[in-house]
Amino acid sequence: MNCLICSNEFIEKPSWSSLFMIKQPQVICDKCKDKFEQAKMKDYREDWEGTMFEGSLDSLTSIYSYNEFMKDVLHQYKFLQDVELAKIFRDDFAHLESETAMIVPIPMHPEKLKERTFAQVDELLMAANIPFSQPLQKTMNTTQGKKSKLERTQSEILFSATENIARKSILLIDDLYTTGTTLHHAAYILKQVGATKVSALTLMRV
Amino acid sequence: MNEIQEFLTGRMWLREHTPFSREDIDNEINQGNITPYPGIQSSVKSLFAFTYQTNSCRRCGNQQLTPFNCAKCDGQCLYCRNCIRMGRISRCTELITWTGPFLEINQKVVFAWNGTLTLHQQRASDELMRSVKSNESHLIHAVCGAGKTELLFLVIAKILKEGKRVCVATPRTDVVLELAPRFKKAFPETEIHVLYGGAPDQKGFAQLIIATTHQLYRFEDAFDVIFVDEADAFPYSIDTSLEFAVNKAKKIDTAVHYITATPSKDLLREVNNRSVISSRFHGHPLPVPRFDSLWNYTKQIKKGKCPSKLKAWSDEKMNNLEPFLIFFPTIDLMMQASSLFENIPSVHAEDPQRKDKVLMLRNKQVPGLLTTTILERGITIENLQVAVVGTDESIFSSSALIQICGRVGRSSEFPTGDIVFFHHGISNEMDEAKYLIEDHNKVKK
Repeated sequence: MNCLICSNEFIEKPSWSSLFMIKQPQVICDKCKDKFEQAKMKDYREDWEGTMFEGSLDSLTSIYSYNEFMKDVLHQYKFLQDVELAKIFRDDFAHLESETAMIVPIPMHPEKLKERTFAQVDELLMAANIPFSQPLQKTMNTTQGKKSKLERTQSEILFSATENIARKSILLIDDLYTTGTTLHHAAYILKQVGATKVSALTLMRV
Repeated sequence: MNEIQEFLTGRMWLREHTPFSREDIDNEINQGNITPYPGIQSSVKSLFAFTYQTNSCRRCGNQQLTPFNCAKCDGQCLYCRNCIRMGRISRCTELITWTGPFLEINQKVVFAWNGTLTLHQQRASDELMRSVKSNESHLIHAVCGAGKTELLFLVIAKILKEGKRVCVATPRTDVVLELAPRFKKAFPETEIHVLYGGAPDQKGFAQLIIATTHQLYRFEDAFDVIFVDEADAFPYSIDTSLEFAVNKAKKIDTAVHYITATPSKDLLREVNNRSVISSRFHGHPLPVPRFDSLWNYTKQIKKGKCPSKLKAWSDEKMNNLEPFLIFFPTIDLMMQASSLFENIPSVHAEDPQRKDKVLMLRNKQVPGLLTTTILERGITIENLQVAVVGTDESIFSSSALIQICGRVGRSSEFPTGDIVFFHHGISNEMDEAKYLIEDHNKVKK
């Protein structure tokens, strides 16, 4: 097997779970894996105190820290459009199989989707074999990455939601938490259509 | 308009990634001056009664394509991971190239090199010129320090004057960076593009291109004459898509010429026209490596102890103020060893400061460098002394070792130097390297 990140050949350490195919085979080498850092627990609420979005997002969990290495990996995935890299993170989402909340990946604007050819958050879940629903629609085709922090927190609501959501508890999934605009906007709109609890899980956090 | 022609002549470029506006490109396509091709080529092949379809990347020839669900095609699509760093090629992307009026090359060629060639260089240069004229593949097998680049100058000067487009390709970025300034000095009036991963954008039409073999993915049907320098170096030696790139970049019936100090058996078999140069330009014999045992070096280094022979060797070179390189088989071992040497930086393939550190050694700001095989080629430093740690490891093939020995005694002021193979048992490759070096030295001058 060649590592999906550094393309060097590697041999996976044999284990009972891989022998009986309980675990999916490893797709990156240990050297690359070692460069992944666990995300630090940080408060996210502070930035949103006093805004209309305060309290929209009930909890936030992030898996990895957005370090230099992750920056490159995410760049290759999203901007070089290397869809295959979604497989790297399938173990990280595997626990969602037993999730009771409704799983909702952050959607892309249809135009943006055509440009990128794939929805990066959907692909992460599909690689891990996790079913999801999509009550949200992205209404504004803007790129968050190019805006200043102030612009981001003040921008208009980025999403619209279908009225009836099946379950009242929702788990939002996104690739990266930077200032939290995307997730707060999505949570805000979901609460308006009747969600009682909105949590979020992001793959990386700045 | 002219700019587009200059840029796209012989190039295969992603339609969405050109430096020109979409309207201009569309306009040229409508006029038939630019032809778009699908990024993934499909061809139907048949084997007896069966027919099957093969898909390959138009840019790099890779056939192991990755399927995915594409929102642009609204269904199954394929993409190529091999050359993805140059912008992704999928079934729904297009590559464009110039197919309009032929670009007339009438650049002025000034040949500003006024050195002289040795008899051996002159002979090889004449033989190569003859092969270029008759368009037959030629191999220059010249020992390290024989002056391969200089003998190329003469041949390339003649080709450029005929209005032909030339490429000098090599697998290593370091070699490109070493060659480029020398060519620019020799041909001051010629437009030369220097292409490697991360190189700055260069505009216009270049008649002479110095590039890594990777960059040739982006050319098609472009070169009248092509030279591959150090064809036996990694990764050209193992990555067949690079050979595909060279073949695609040249004009269809153009022969490929090779230059190396350590030709592989395949290369020797394939190429019949050969020029061998067994002596260096300064006429002194090649430095012969000596073997010295360094038992259990991994264990000692892991324990944080510098093997005494190695310590004595590096201390001696430091006291004599002689610059030195110590080669290690792996990055891991080198990193462990680097804590045992004070003030001696280490370099490896992924080190972003490699260029600067080599420059520091050249400027005598550091006494020596620890390195992996990345510096086995293309580096010339006066009076360099070399030690190899763990020479018995499989990464040190005989050709790698010959290249490493070739770093020593390159200048006429310091034609000798110490080259020591520290080992934990002598390997066949070590014996072969020594034998081949001594063999060159035996040739009657």
